[in-house]
Amino acid sequence: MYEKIHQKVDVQVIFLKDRPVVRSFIWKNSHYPISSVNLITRASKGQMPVFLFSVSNEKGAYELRFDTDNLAWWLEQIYYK
Amino acid sequence: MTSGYLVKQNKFILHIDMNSFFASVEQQANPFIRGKPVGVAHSGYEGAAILAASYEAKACGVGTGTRVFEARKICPGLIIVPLDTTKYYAVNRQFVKILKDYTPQVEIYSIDEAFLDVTKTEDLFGGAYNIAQRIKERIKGEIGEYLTCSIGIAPNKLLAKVGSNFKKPDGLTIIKWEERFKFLDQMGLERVWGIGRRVGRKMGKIGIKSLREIRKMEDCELRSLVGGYYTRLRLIANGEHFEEVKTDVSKKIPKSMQHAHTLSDASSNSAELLSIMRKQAERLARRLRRRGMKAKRVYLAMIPSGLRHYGWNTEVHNFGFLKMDHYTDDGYEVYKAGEIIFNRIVFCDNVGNKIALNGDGKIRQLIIGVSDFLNADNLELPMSLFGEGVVAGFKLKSELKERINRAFDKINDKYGEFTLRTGDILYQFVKEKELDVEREQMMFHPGI
Repeated sequence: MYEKIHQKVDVQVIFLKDRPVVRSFIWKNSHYPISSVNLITRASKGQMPVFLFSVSNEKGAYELRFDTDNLAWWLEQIYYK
Repeated sequence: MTSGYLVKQNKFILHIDMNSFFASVEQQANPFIRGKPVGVAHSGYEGAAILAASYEAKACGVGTGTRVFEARKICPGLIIVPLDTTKYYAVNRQFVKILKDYTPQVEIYSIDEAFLDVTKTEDLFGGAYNIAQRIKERIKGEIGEYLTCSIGIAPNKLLAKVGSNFKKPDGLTIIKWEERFKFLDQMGLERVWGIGRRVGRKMGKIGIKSLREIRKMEDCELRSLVGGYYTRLRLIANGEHFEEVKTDVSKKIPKSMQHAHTLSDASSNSAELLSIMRKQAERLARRLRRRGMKAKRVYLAMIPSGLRHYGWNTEVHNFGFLKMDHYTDDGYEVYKAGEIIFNRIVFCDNVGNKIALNGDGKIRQLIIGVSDFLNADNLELPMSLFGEGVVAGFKLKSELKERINRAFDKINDKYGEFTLRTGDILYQFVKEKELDVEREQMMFHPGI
């Protein structure tokens, strides 16, 4: 089941070679470890480039957005079984 | 295939077709829906159409255009995923970037299809077959392992497209010139690029079901059936196609531009229909201005509920058009022309509701479009039909309008579409926001 969220979150990311890898994020004081980065897409909001990270763990799939102008992370959507 | 050509036109053309593109992108993004029947739809509303189906959904009989309620009946486990065009365009850009590493001659045919002419570069990469294999590997490695494509390699675009259609998903088919009939004759007529439903049906009615049968027909017989199109049909049946791979499609002036809006609930409410049209007209005008074009002819079609739109039928589709006395790129002018057409098409019932003439009176889809273009650079200042006059002694209102539009465009380019909008389309945004909440509930919680 999908649910739209659109809330700011704290995200832990590491860079492996030239690829960012999302390790975990914190939403509503809960820690969500990420086991897989499934898709990274570059889009834009007006002139601002944004990056969308489709990630997942064993509990669900999540879409995170990174805004490049203010370096903010957003949780856009979640999917859980 | 490193040496020699596929003969006839001495070319190596690749056609790349991403398999079940929208659905595969969603399955790539979300591993929980992989291997399951997935339908991508604009909304979870039961009357909405499935825009793309995964292979698992296709196996159950769900196809593009199937209504959500029909799809749920034939495939009870179907997962409806909301359409996310931003994601698909982003993946398309990644895919095109990969293709351009092998040749500058890339024609983006649609969001999930492209033609490549690798005739001059194939030697650099060990042949066309190797290029095709590398493209497949790179799509999986660089974009996502769940994304597959079918590739056709042939001496022309038509045969390359037949090749990519031949084996799906994840196919790679080479068609040599001398083997073309083996492939062409296995394709149903309606599936052949350039033939289409109408001609396919027409031929089907007289028992012609393959290109092989068309090849056997006399010219006069073919001409009596399809008119002047017979020469093209003859070429297709012979596997001949002389069109080059076009690298600059985006700069080509289109014949028309249109926006379609499918209503979640079919409606006969004129205020609602006009409000949708106003927003669509603004989108059209933005596209015109972005391309530096202006249009003279505005057309409108209102598809009644229960009907599908395959080619125009002016009677059935409540179709009308208006040719203005000037070219425009202004959203309000496009809308006003659309409103005139709208008022010609509909009539009032005895309590004042406007009802469409054809169909059951309720409109499911509204299409507004423009045609008859000129590049804005070549134009003189246009005179407008709607409220024109002399302002400040010498400035025409149209000039002011253009300046306002330019200012709108600058802001919307920077901050996103419709960040700045006119008051008259505000109603549509409020309505859509309310509907979005409703749709999300339907989409994500089908039981509600």
